[in-house]
Amino acid sequence: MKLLYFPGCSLKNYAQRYEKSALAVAKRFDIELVELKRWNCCGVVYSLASDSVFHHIAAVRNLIRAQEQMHETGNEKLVTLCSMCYQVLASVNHRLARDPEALETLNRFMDEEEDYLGTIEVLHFLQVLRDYIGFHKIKESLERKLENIRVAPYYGCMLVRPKEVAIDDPEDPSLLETLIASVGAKPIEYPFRTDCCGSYNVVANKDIVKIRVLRIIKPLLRNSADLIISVCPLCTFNLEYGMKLASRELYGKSIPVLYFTELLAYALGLDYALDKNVLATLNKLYEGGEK
Amino acid sequence: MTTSVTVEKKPKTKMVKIYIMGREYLVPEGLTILKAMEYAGYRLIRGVGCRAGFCGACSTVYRLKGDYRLYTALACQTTVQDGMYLVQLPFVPAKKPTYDIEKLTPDLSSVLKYFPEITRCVQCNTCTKVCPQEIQVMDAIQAILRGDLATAAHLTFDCIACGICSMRCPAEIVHYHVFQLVRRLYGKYIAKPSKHLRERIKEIEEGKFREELDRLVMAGVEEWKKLYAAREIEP
Repeated sequence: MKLLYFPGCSLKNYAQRYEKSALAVAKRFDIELVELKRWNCCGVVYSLASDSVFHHIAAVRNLIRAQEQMHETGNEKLVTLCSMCYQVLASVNHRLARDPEALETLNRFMDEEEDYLGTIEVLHFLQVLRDYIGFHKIKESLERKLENIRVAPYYGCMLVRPKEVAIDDPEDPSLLETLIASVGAKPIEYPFRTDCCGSYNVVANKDIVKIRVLRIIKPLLRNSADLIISVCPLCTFNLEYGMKLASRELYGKSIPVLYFTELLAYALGLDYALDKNVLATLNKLYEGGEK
Repeated sequence: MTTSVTVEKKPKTKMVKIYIMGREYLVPEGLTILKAMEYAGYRLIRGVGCRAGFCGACSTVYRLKGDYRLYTALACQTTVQDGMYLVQLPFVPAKKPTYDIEKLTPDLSSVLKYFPEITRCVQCNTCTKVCPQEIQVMDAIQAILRGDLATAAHLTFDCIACGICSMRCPAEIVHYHVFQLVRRLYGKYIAKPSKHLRERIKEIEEGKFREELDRLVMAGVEEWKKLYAAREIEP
């Protein structure tokens, strides 16, 4: 099966490990993620202004690029990995499907492109795992059963809110827990898995990130989590950076943050797609767990 | 007896009506915008250069009667049409930072150090729409923003720095200076070194062309004229 794929800027930059591991996992289950030939930044933040459509242009242009290329895959699905990209593309798509006037304004403005017809379906890779691959299939394909590894799922806010574009129950999501369990590991319950990491405040007000991360991490230390798995490059960055900022408050302790695709790739034996340090972290936990 | 003399009448040149800075002129059909302005009496000192579509000095904007669009072009490459509203842009003011290419690294941080404003791109794509060289300008800025300098360097290879993109950009990016930095970084650090260039530089340094050049310098005006007329021209 072929699906169009929108990488987003972070995945081509400091989150290359996320892309590499995700592409390998997809390939393992005979899904080819076809990167859009032309794409631009998603727009980063979905604009809530109801009287301006200008901030949707970036997202719509990407949806048009997908529309131009969908003949290659034979379907209208567009997969993202970064949860911010998912949120922006899906939210814009959702709004335009219900606001034909806004869509017309945008189409008129972008007169150098073909009109966006509103038919592209934006998916997050977690949905592909759940709906197109299936957790049972993952369970059957394991090369390593990651028993005794204690994994904290971290959703952040972008995948589960608002409910119009949420890929899971906004109040009580379970996708990541199911994924963790299907690779044999132990999902850790804790209260702040859908709390915000501080997001772009990391640029201008680092203290916000520090406070958020402290709140998220503290119960995980008490629960002796081995790993946190994340769905978003910015969450990953903020969790790691926030732990550094709060090093004193955390008594110098920290927990490795991996992308869910890395945990999955490791369980499937796709070591070639893993970053050296990530592989070392996982090997240590896996071998420690076997004893 | 009368002798009739047939005088061959020169076909009358068709004239078109144009407006330069709001004033109406009749100019012969088929002139370029640049020549039409000169025909109308303007003497262009700036805003004109090679007259061959390469130097990027004669960027221009115009509108056509009954059309809402603001068109952009090189004045030396575009012929006048009836009902054109014209103005010649003499110059594009732009920040041009000084940097030492030896001290830079070929990545996004180097570009952001001198051009932080590129992060203001809202992807309206106006730059791409107005580019007379048909460069995917916005795609190039976006490639830079994700650290892909090689793609940006290739996309902007045909840039002639006319500056129209920079005048229309709502984010006030000076694209052509950004692209020049990116191509310099690409050329110096990313692209494979070209073997024939190294060989040629060695030949020059060893003085292989010295004699020929000296002879040319001493040849004198008449010889130069002859050589110029007989020069090889690229097809």
